[in-house]
Amino acid sequence: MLRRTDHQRGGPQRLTRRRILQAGIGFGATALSLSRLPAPEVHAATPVSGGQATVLNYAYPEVWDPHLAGTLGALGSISPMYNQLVEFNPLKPSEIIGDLAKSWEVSADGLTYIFKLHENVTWWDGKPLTADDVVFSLHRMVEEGKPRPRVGLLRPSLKMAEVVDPHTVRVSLKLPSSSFIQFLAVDYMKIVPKHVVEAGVDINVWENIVGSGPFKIKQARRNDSVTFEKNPKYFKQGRPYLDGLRVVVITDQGTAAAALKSGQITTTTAVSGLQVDDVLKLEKDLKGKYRLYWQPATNVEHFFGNTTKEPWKDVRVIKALRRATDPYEIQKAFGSGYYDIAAPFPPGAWYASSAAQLKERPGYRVPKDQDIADAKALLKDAGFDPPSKLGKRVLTVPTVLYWPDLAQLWVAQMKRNLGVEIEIKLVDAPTAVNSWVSGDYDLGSWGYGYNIPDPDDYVHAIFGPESRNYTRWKHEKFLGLLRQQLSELDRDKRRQILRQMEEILLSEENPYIELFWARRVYVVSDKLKTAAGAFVPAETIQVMLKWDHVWLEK
Amino acid sequence: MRYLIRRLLLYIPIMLAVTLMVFLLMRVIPGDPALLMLAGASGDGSFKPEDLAKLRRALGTDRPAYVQYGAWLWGLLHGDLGTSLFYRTPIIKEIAPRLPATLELSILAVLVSVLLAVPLGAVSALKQHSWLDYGARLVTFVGISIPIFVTGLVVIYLLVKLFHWFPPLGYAMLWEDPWTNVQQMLFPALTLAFFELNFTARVTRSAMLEVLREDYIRTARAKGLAEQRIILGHALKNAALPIITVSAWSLARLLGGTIIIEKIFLVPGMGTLLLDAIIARDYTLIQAIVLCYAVIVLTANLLVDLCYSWFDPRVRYA
Repeated sequence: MLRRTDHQRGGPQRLTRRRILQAGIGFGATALSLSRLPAPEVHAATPVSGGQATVLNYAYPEVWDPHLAGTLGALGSISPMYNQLVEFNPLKPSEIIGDLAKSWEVSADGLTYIFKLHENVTWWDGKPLTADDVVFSLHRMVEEGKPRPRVGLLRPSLKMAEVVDPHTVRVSLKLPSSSFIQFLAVDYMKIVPKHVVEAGVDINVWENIVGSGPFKIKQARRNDSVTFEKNPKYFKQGRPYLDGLRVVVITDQGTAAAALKSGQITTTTAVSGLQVDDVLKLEKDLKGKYRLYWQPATNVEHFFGNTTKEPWKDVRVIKALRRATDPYEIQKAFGSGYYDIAAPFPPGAWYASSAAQLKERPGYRVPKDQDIADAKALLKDAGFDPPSKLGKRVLTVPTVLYWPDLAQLWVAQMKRNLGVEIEIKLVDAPTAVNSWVSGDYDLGSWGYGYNIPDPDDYVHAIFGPESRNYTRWKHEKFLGLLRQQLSELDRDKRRQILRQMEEILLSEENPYIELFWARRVYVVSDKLKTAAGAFVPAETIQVMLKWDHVWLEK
Repeated sequence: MRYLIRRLLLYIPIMLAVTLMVFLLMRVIPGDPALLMLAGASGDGSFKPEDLAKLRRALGTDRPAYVQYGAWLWGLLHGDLGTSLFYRTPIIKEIAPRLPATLELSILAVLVSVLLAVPLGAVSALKQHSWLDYGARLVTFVGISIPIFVTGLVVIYLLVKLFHWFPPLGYAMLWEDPWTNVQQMLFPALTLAFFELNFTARVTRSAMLEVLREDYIRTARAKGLAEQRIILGHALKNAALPIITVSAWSLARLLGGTIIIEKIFLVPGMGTLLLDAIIARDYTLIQAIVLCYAVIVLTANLLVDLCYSWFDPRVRYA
């Protein structure tokens, strides 16, 4: 038996609250619920055509091939040129709607998806976009032995894709996966033209790009701007509303703030390079012109030990340091109150404890005395009595963002609460990452921002056997549960499994010392409108970057 | 002609020394282009150790330093600036669209600074110990003391604060959209000119003071020549040599200044390219840009030397 989800193409005049809600029905078990933002109210709004929007992004694309891209710096300029099969609803970001797919069906066992494609889609060169292109692209995304920084997220689930007819694609999965369709909706998962790539044309060069998306590239100037013009043959009727789009890169924060104040920026991406304090100041200065739109906290920051090396092999040691860490002091010092408390899973997510529940747990107690006593006891059991017997540890810290300040605060906490000496070793970000990759470090500091709010992304990457688990921590029971939840489609059962996993991290073993969950923020001109009225922020930084749903108020 | 050829031949060892120095310096500072490509400047990427080794091999950065330098020089001898390690594009393709922006900015800045600095320095010398002189000296002293990036940021702050205006985003070449280009170049050029005019004005003042005390000036006045003719025809012409020399140095200093000013004012020129290349540890691109800078500075110096004989007929080149 197949579940059916229809997503008829249509202009915003047909986009009603009912339709948006319908769009989520077929999504069923995979519906997202992380959002703790108030659901945007959908108002009938009449779109206005014309004008050019300027989007501020933090970097110029280092690659142009969507399947080779791994950063928002690249995606911010690539996404407007292509389409995915499905996308996160830009008016209600917790739902998934069709993009090239007008509908899809899922088999009862969750192992087969059948996508029906829109029939009037053409590439910029006039050739039709068909099931052949979709199958080719899906296989290209999971091609073994090729660098696939983000699209490779499909590898654990995608088995094969096949053409049923020119506008129907059947996708078979290796296992039932509630996250598959969400990964497919991430903006990296672009459908590329088979006839162009197979002809040997390098689509990693911007001049060679043949897309299907709402905007065609006109010009790209490295580390300056990328200019797009409207695709007049875009298959979504009436869209894009904008005549042109420009993605600008401003790396100097003072200059970026000045450009915003002069009104030349229409919107930022969720990572503009501006820090929280800067945007809060801008919010005051630009009242009535711009507004801030916060995403949920999607980026965890943590310190960690290399669990294949002494003394971190003994998990009690890292647990002791975590217990002696004051998460409230850190939360207060960073993010101006916009960051969530440190936790192994995103606090308040459907599969995690809430911040209120965490307050009752060891490590979060106020006053801190009992936690510190517990930490000392753990170190004593591990053979470090007094704690200073740990010797001078070395914390490798990248010289980006708030990391040096964060490290200083934590090192001071360790000295104050345990008498442990930690030396800070500052290095540039790539060198730091190389230390994590090679394992050549004592204590490390880094974070992870997830692509989709499903634990199959974050939990798998950080605690699973993936390359982002720089701690090299392996816990058989935890990994067993991780595998078990991966193919569990029943949300309640899945939640139970994930709560067991969280319990392991909170009370038994956790190779990380979480510091906080950071939020990203958009700075958006009040002139930018959507069918929902105002701009609606995406739930993660890697989605909703096509800008075909926005217009500029005259 | 023989002088010119001798000077041009002298370019070769100088440029070799410059590129060798840059090559060695870049190898001394920590960083790895392969690592940057895999991890990204912000460290967002993830990779495996074998990916890193493979990429280093592909880029050729695993070879001994002398082999890398030798290969680069060999390419240069064949008129090939090489391929950018980071961007994987021919370096000429990276430099060509950026050189006009930097040259335009530098030439504008030199012109503005000379046009303002020479009268300022001359008036200051002519009215020595007057309030005008003290005022001009104070301005030039303050100007020299303020770092160029501070001036740049202050200019931007004032533009936005007072006029709610910021140069148009998205760079346009002079021949693509002259009006946009003028708006984009005016303030960075003025900022650079302000930085530079202080040096030139001070040199002009001291050169003029020296010349004004010469016997031939006294003679000219005794002959009853008009003051304007004495100043412009005799004093300023004789004071021109140090001013011209300083202007050539100005170009070299300005090329350095463009790095930060281009970044602040969003001008995609050679300065920003160099900065990005340094951040990316793009050794081949850095070497090529520095080589271009060396050629520009050496050529400017050569032109200045050739100008000497026009300003001072006593100067002759054997």
